[in-house]
Order: sequence, then structure tokens, then C-alpha cells
Amino acid sequence: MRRKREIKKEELMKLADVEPGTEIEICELPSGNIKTHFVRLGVIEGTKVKCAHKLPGGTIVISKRHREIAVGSEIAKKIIVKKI
Amino acid sequence: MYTHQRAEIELEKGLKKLVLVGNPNVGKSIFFNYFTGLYVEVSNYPGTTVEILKGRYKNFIVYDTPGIYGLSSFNDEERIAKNMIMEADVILNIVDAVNLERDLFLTLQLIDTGKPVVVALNMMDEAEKKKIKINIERLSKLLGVPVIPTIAVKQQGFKEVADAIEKATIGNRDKKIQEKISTISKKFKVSEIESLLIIEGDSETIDKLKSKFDGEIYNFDEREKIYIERRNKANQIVAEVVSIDTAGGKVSGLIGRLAIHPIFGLFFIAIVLYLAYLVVGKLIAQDLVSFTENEIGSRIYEYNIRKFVANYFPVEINVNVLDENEEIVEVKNFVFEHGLKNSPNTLNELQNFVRDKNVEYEFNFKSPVLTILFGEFGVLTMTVKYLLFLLLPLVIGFYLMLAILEDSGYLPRLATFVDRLMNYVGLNGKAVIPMILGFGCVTMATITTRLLSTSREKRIMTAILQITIPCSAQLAVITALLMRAGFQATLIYLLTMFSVFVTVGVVLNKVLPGSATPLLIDLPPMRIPRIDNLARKTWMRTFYFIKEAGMWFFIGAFLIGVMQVTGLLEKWIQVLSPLTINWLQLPAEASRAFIMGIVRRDFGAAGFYALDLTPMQTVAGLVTITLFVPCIASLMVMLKERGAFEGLIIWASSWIIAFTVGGIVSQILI
Repeated sequence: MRRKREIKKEELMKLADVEPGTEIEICELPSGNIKTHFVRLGVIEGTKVKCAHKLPGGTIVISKRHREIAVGSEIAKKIIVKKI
Repeated sequence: MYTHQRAEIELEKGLKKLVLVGNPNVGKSIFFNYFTGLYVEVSNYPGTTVEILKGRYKNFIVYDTPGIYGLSSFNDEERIAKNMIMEADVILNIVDAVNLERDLFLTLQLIDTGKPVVVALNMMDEAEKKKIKINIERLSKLLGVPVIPTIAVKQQGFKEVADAIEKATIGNRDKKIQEKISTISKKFKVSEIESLLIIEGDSETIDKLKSKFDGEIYNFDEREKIYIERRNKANQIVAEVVSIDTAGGKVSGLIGRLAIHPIFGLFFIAIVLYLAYLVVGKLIAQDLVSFTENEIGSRIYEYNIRKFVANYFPVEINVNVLDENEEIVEVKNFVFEHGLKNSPNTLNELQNFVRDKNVEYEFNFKSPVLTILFGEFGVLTMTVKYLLFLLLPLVIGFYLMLAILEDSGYLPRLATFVDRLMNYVGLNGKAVIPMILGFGCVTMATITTRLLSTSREKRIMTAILQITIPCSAQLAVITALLMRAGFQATLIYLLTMFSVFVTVGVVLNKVLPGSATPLLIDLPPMRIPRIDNLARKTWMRTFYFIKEAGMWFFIGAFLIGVMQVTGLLEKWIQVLSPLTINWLQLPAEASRAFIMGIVRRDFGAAGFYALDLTPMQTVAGLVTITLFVPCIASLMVMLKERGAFEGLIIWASSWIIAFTVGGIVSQILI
């Protein structure tokens, strides 16, 4: 029981810290306008995406099926994800 | 804002309003062109650079709207699209078949408004390439509206769309939302679409209708809940109607991937910028403009208009005889007390003198009014020449480049790439657009700062543009002078300019409350731009620029002309002299160059040409002139965009910064 919970904790990370090429699941989006826009673009909590690029300075590009979305480093720090 | 809207879109009796709506980059403009043909009215939404296109099709007035992801008021473009959709009788929603999941959110929201909707499922060819199969009948049934597969670039499916528009219906609305809408619209006597926006917490709609709520406090914070439900519904629909044969190919083409690759992306930017420089900087700004400005503008247009006026009014003509290198070798002066027509003898003398010689003429009119109109800085001579023969080709070139960057899908990638750098000066990646345009014409770029989302960003960008960015007119002269001054001087100049640029940005970023808008953008696939779209965009923007800024060039020239005639200009030059000599350690004549820089920035730099300066003096002078106040037209446009108070603060800062930095450079170097 306890071990399971620890593993879960380790799995959660910020989108900003994800290595390029990793498949991830979005666990938590910051609420407010940013979340609203993500929802419209098709990303909600539970959506599975891939971290496609990580640019110098921390901007992250995530890809989902046929699309790419650029996420500024400030936002990427506030998004909680887990590896699949 | 809203009252303008009503004036902008006047009601035409017996005609229905068809509004085209869709996400960015779904091919809306091709549909618009098909429906309206060539008879398109372009107007700008009041107070924005967002263009509204309007045309006629049968008994419809057709409107094109900016690309949006949903109905809300996050930025100017969304507000405008939303207001136009409110007025619609029929909505044609263009959807990208490849990105159906993303686009369906907007489709469902449009259906929820209770307006009749037709869906054009565009880019079916690309979907086929990507092995995406869509069950169109099922999709149409689920949405409750006609869904027509189209391939816009090949004009396929347009006829069917046209037929469907005639019999557009209201789709399957969300039951819960529909109940809420009818409650609110009955209770407060507002339209259904307004009710929907109230429920979704759209601030603009709520503010507008405040008075109707009769002081009733209504809790509108259901946006997130409704949005997530709508998103889930869209995803369910997609799961039901879309099947993909393979596990999805590559996300975007090779070029698109390279463009945002951390390392190759840099090479990509370098190549793009170099190509842009070759075409715009070299071909247009130097070769073409030097021809249009000097040959057509000076030798044909200005000469003939002045000669015509000189026929009837007192004038003094200086004839400069030139050798092969266009250097003046002899000057002869002719005075016509009552115009050329009334002094045939003097005219003969002049004609004999110039025979077989390469000459240029200087007209000095005796009357102050004529000097203001037709003199060196004449409203009808210099300004017309400047606008039509120098700025126009340049602005066309820059807007064409921008259109290519936009339509190819590279601009969002470039914005992504430079976003972090821009953050240091309090801006986000989008600011790269006015920045690039600034190197063409600061006036043009100042207008495009409206693209930026917050007034804080507009403020920082305007200050950076007006203070630190040299426009192309200046760049040509600066380059020539630096070539003469040598490598070391060039390096010092570049370093100084870059430091000032960074300092201005960083200081403003620290001082102004708030921070840069975080970047969150959808990256469209890279495509080959369509020529007709490029041409239309470029033409529209150029026309708009001339309309918006042209007048200020005339007003500026008029003011300078008045100052010249009344002797104020000379006074100003004298006031600046001690500062120029003691602090900047430049010859007294340099202050004339500074003042001329107010008229046209390149005049300022060009004034240094004639002076005999050491390389280090050149650096000090050029630093001052680059940082120094922008030309009078861009000042006027800035005052209009940012308001008199803020504009004048920026203007005064540019004086102070120019003379402070220029002086420090001079004290260190000389």
C-alpha cells in the first residue's frame, strides 16, 4: 500500500522537466484562462501527449496525433504530468 | 467598441448575414473568395488592425472573421469574431478534417448559440493522405447540421456547401445549456447567443448587459465546467466517427520539425532572415528604391511639379553642374523675379548654360507658402516622393515577407523559438513581428504593435521600436558610414546599440507592473503559401498603412516646413550646438543633421556624410542619431496609438537616451 503511493508520487513531474521524446499524461492544468485555452485546443486532464521538443530557455513543444502545441516555459512549470 | 460595430455592419434590407467561422489556418479565405468573387469591401474593425472582409453572394452578405478557437473575449480578434457571430443569420463553420478533434469544440459552441450552422469539412485530401477516415453521415447526424466534405484548394464541394447554406438548420444543442439559455433570455430579455455567453462568463457580454440584470447578482462561473463537458463531447464524437488506419504518421513535415528543432531551428532562422534581407533589404530597399526615389521621385516628379509652379511665381534657381561621379563641380544662380514665363531672357540664359551638361536644379521659392508646399521639405514634393517612391515599395516588400511567413506556418514556429529571449525584455514570441517590421519602417511597426495582447507589451514594444530600432532608410546610410569607419567602429556601434536595446527592454520589464503573456500556441503545419492569398493580404495591409499613416507624413512635413520658414528650425539647431560640440565632440554642423533626423531619419544620418569625421566620431554620431527621436510621422502615429502622455514620455526619453549614450561613447572613445 505505502510503496504504491510512493511510486505514484515519483511519477508526477512538471512538464518543464520532461525529456523530449517522452510519452506523458496531463494530470493537472493551472486553472483560469490558460486552462480554458488548453481545453479548446483539445488538451484536458487525462489527455495523453508526447513531449516533442524542448527549446533552449525551456519552451516545450508537445505533440498530439497530428498537431503540435508550443507551451511557454512559465506555463510548462505549472503543468503536472506523469510518464506513461 | 460595440456601438462602432453596429455602424460598421449596417443592416441591408432583405439580405441575410452569412458569417464564415473557423480555427486559424483552416482555409476560410478560399471559401470567402469563392462566395464573393472580386467584389470585396475591406474595412478595419474600429481601433484595431483586424481586417473585416465583406462581400455579396446571392441574397447574402458574406463576412470573413479572424480565426478563433472559441467564442470569448481573450483578445481583439476573438472579440471581433464574437461580435460578428452575434449578428449572423447563418454560420458557415469551416473545419479542418485532420484536426477534427480540436475544431469540433468551436463547432459545438456555435451550435449551442442556437444559430443555423453548416459545417464544411475541409482538407479531406490531407486527411486521406494521413489515412484518416471520417464517417460524415454519422457526424452530421450527431451534430444535427449538414456536414459537407470539401477540398478548398481544388474547389471541391463548394457547390454542395452553397446549397446547404440555403437550407441551414439549428443543430442538436446541449439540453442542459439550452434550458439555462431559455431561462436567462426570458428573464433578462436578451438574445439566446447573449445568454449563452453570459452563462459561459464572457466578461464583455456581462459588462454590456449589466443594466438589464436589475442589480441582481448572478454567479457566472460555469465556464470551466461547460468547456470540459463540451470538450468531452467533442472527443466522444471523434471517437465515434473517426477511424485511423495506421498509428498516425509523423506530426508535421520535415521542414516543420526542423524549424523548431533546438539546433537546426537556429540555422533555419538564419536562412530565412538572410533570404528576407536579400529580397527586402537589398533588392527592394536599395536597388529598387534608389531607382524609384531618385529617378522617378526627384528627377521626374519633383522637378516637373516645381518647374510648373516656377512658371508663375518668383523663384531663384541654383543649377549644380555634376561630373561623372555625380559630384558638384560648378554652381550658377538664376533669379526670376516674376516666374519663368515673365523672364524669357533669363530662361534662355539658363537653357544655354545647361546645354550638354549633367545638372540638377535647386528651386528656392520666395513665398513662404510655396516653400512649405513645394520646397525642400515640401508637403507636395518631399512628402509625396517619400511616401510613394520610398516607403510604398518598402512597405509592400515587408508586408509580402510577413504574409509569406504567416501563410507558410513559419511565424508561429519563429515566435516559439524566440519566446524565451523576448521574455527577458517583457515580451512574448509574438513581438517578433513588429520587431522585424521595425527594420523596415518604424511607423509601420508601431501600428502593428496592436497584435500584442496586453497594453504593457504594446508599451514596451513601442518604446523599443521608437528608441532603439533603426528603420531601413537609416540602415542604408548607417551601413555606408560604418563601411567608411572600419571594422572596429562597426563593432563598437553594434555592441552599444545592442546594450541599449537590452537595457531599455529589461528596465521597462522591471519597472512596469505585470509580466509577459505566457506563450501557448497551436503550431499549424508548414505549407507552400498561395500566391492569391499573399497578394490580397499584402495589398490590404499596404493600403491600410498608407491610409493610416500617410496623413501624418503630410502633417509632419507641414509642421517642419512652417518651422523652416519661420526660422525656428535654425534656432533649434543653434540651441543644440553647444551640446554637440562639447559633449558629443562633433562639429557644429552635426546638430543640423540631428534636427534633420526629425524630418526623415535617413536625412539625419545622411547629414554626417558631408562631415569629415574620424571613425570614433562617426560611431558617437551614429549612436546618437539611431537612438535619437524617430521621424515625425512615427511620432504622430505613436501619439495616436499610445496617447499623448505616454507618447511624449517615450519621445522625451529618446532625446535623453540618445544624447546621454552618444556622449558617454564619445567621452570614452575620443
